[in-house]
Amino acid sequence: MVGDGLNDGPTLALVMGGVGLIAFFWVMREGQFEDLDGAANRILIDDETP
Amino acid sequence: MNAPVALDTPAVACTDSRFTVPGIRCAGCIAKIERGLGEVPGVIAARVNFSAKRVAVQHLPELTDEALLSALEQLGFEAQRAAENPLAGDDAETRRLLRALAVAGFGMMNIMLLSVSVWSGADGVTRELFHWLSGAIALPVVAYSGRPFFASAWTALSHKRTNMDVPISIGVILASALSVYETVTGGPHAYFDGAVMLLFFLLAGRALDAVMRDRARSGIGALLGRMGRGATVVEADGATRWLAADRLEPGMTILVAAGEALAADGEVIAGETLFDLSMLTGESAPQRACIGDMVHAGTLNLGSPIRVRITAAAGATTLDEIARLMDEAGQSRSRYVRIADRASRLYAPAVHTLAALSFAGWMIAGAGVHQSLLIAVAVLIITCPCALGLAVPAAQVVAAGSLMKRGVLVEDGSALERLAEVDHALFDKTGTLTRGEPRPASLDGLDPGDLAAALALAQASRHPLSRGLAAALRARGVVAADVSGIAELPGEGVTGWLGSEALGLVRSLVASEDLALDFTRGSRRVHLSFADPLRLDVEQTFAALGALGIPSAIASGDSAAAVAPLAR
Repeated sequence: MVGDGLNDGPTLALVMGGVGLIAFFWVMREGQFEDLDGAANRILIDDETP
Repeated sequence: MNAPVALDTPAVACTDSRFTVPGIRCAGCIAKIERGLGEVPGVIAARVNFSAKRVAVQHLPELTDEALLSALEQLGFEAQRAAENPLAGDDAETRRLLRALAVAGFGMMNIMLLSVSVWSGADGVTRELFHWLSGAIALPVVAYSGRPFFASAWTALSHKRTNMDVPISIGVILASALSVYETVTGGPHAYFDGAVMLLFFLLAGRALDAVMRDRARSGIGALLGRMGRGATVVEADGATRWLAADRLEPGMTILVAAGEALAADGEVIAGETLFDLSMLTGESAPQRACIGDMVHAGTLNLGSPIRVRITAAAGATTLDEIARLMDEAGQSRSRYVRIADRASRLYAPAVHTLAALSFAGWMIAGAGVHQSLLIAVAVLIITCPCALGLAVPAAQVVAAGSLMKRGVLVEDGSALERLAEVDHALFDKTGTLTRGEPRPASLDGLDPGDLAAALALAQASRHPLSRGLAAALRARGVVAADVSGIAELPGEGVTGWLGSEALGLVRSLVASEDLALDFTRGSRRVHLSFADPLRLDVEQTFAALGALGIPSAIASGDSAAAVAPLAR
């Protein structure tokens, strides 16, 4: 079963889940969750870039 | 991504100031503030937090909070100094809980994947393998995510007490240990999924609770935040240097500039000026301070620079006394215990007894240690208060969020429950029933040109009457005229020139009880009287409270004569 490497259900789930978990920890450290509404609104800012 | 305007930061010592700006409403506001503040000399960077309606400004220490506040006002945003967050420590706790929650969630879902196979009938080698895998995932997860509970239970036990976390910890540890035993002996019943899922739901409840606490800002912090950050100390040889508020000591002489908030209590030794005491006493009329007068930390110097000899510094000022009293008032919950806490006092002993009885009972019935232990652990796990632990914080968070949108700050979840038992309402007058700021009673004597000139003069002064006038004029949409030669004379007023006409907002010639100003233009003189207006919905509020059967009364520091017209 698990010997199929990444082709096997549980192993794949673990690896992908693990990647997601690490990404979550990293994003938390960067502080991206501190201001969710702000990030949403910033895309609407008109930047005077020529 | 979306970085604010930032200059090249040399290795300069800079200070971090935070302001709450409730008027931030859209993307345009974010850009306006960040760009506008970035252009103020001395500002290194400004960052808006839209969700919290705050601005964090990194700037050189010489730039005062007042300067930043007036810069924000010029941009069109009313702002206030934000609390020096005393809850900063709790923020770390929320993050810890969220991380534990994430790990528990990850573990729970992966173990469940394996458990589903086992429950669907996997047997023999497959089942053993999946049990080993589950164990390999579960044990580190329990060790990491269970820490909040284990730590709390250990603290309670070391003081010979129990709390909610003790049965939870025992349940989780026993379940894990039993499951390891099952796995090693090749048995059919491993409960790694149960243990981890339990942790997940309990952590969800804790995390919600912590998020709610984070959102509450302490009134104490807001009060202390109004004190000056530091002061310019004059040495014996005449040299001056800037010291932070907590390094000031009694006996030092400080130079207090116009517009600066005092960082310590003291006695005036040189100079004469007006102080704005509204922060300490609620009085909007400025107080004169001459040589020999005592002045207090937190008040604002409105007039000319003076020298003050410090008599009480950080920790010992009148302001700190007030903060301590507020803190004590907040702590005394001795007569009131939250409903859930009351239940939990009986809970832990009851659950332990039940589990112990189950174990003993089944042993006596001849079931053997393994079976009895399994049953006892099952009892512990079933009685874990997942629902209670989740429901209460969830309801509180949602309620607090709705209230916050309406401008009410909920500091403590139990406040919601206590509100249900209210039987009497006491109102403070200045600032609660009234706006707390003087506003011109009527502007009828002024034509549009006068209004524009008046705004230009009023904006230039920090006197409470000027600020009230400026706010009222701005609310009408008046645009300031181009007035030149603006000068402020403490105690007299503000003067300027519009073209060839002399303008002034000066001390009124008419001596009256109420606060008043005279507006002069050329040879004309218009008297403007100010009053502290009642908030618009005061009558409705009293009526609504009366309908609920709650009598209202006013408690105020003002004289009875001032309060009487309001009382009815």
